[in-house]
Amino acid sequence: MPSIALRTRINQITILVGVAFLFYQITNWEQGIWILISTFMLVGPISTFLGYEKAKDRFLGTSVGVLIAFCIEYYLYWMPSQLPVIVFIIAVISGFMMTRPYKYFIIIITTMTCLGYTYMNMPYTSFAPVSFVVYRLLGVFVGVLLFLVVQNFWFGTGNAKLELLETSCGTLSKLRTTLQQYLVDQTVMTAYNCATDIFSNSKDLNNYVRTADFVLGGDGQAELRHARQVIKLNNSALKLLVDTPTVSAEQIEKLLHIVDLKLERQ
Amino acid sequence: MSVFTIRNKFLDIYDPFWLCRVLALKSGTVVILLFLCNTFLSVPQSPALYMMTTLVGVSVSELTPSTSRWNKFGTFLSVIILLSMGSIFYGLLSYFKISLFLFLMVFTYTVLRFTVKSTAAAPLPILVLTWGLLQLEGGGATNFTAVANNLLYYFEFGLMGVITIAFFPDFTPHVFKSAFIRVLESNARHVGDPNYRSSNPGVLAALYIMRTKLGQLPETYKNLYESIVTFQAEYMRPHHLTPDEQTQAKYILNELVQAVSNMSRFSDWQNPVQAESEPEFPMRSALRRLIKSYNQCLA
Repeated sequence: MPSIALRTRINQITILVGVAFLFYQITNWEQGIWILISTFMLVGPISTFLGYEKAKDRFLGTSVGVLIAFCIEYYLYWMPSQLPVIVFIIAVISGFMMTRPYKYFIIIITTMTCLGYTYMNMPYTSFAPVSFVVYRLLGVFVGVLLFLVVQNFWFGTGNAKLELLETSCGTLSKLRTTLQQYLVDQTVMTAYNCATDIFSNSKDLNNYVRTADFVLGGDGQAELRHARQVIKLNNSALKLLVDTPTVSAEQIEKLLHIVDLKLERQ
Repeated sequence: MSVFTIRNKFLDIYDPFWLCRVLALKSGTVVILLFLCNTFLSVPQSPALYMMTTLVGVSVSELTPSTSRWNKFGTFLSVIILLSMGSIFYGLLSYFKISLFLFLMVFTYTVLRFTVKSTAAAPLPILVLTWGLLQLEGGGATNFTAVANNLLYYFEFGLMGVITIAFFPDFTPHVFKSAFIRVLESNARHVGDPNYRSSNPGVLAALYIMRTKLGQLPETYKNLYESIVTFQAEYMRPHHLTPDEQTQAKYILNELVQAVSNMSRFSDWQNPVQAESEPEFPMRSALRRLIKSYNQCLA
């Protein structure tokens, strides 16, 4: 069963996609489909916090990617036989970039989708590299703008605050489970396994807190403070579990007690 | 300096755990097969969508944690089926703007509502929703004959993905060893540093990667992981090394890094008698166990 914040976010995404589609249909821009595609890509991580982060990177990344695509397509216009070599190189680079930060990934993905889109729709659309660059950039710019306008002036920060709170609570519950797991089997191996679990479980919350000032804009200080406390507790647990050669069960129990109290208070 | 070596000074900066390199090599392989398919088999006028679908399927099957090749096949087939179905639905409705609008809303809500249980599981459903939109400006299949043809093309290009997954070498040991190297390098850099801790994000990330890959590796790697953890715990003990011992510890760790990157045995302490006669420093026994476990992985 998805959480309340997640369900609300799914409703918001559906509305946002509908608005983007109507914008695309009503304005009837050439290659206006990029507005809709951009909107989908921005809401891709579902989380409001990560969506904002993506929006920041997307416009710059897409601009660079489109310029690269323009140069490649111009080159291919004169050297069409080079297409397999170019596509091979782009595919290898895109594979490499797949797990890299979004701002780098989007550059190569834009280049790849631009080329793919061109060759996919070549028999059906009147294609010229310069107009393509302009339409694509315009589409992405409007997509990002639409996302920011609807997000800020319609949806607001209410669900983002709830999402931050739910993620904090979720991370705290996972911390409790992990610490309990350690107390059952107090070995070095378990300590390190628990530490890697805590490290991986707190990634989302760290990302949210990093972008929280931009997303919440001074709002939701209580939720943010709570999230920071949860991160602090996670870091304390990490230190207790792996920074000393022997783990003190007593200290772990104390920490677990604090976590329990914090969870009870919510 | 080959791209296949575990340690590559240039690539390690961007890809510390060899994950990007596996994806890059796999993407390159599948693209070559797709080109061959395009050259020798019957293909549509614009095969780009089918090619990209296969490429995405192969990448997702590699990115999704899986314990066997069969799991990868399963993921790949699911992705191809989902992406092709999305494209087909969008194509069939593309002439009817209001129906397309309603379908888009219902499809988006349904897919997200029933597949996204957490934000971590979001990328694939979003990809399914977006994929079909790419073809809306032109060549989407708008009748059932075209749909049947398109499905056959998805199958034809999808076969190239299946061949790639079936015959692509398993680079999981490379991923494990590169993470091992990151831990050793970090330790070697901080010999004698009293502020160095295992909770360092680089070390924890490397340990996490190693742990997630254990299910796909032989039992000897599990022993090696245990030895790494034991050594790391021992390393956290205040060891008060003299400058000479620090130099010796650094030398041994760097030599071990070299051995792992060359995929060769570490022979420095092969002879136990000689080992006992050497001057001791506190973490020697943990280091000896680590080296023994590493050598067993190469056996």
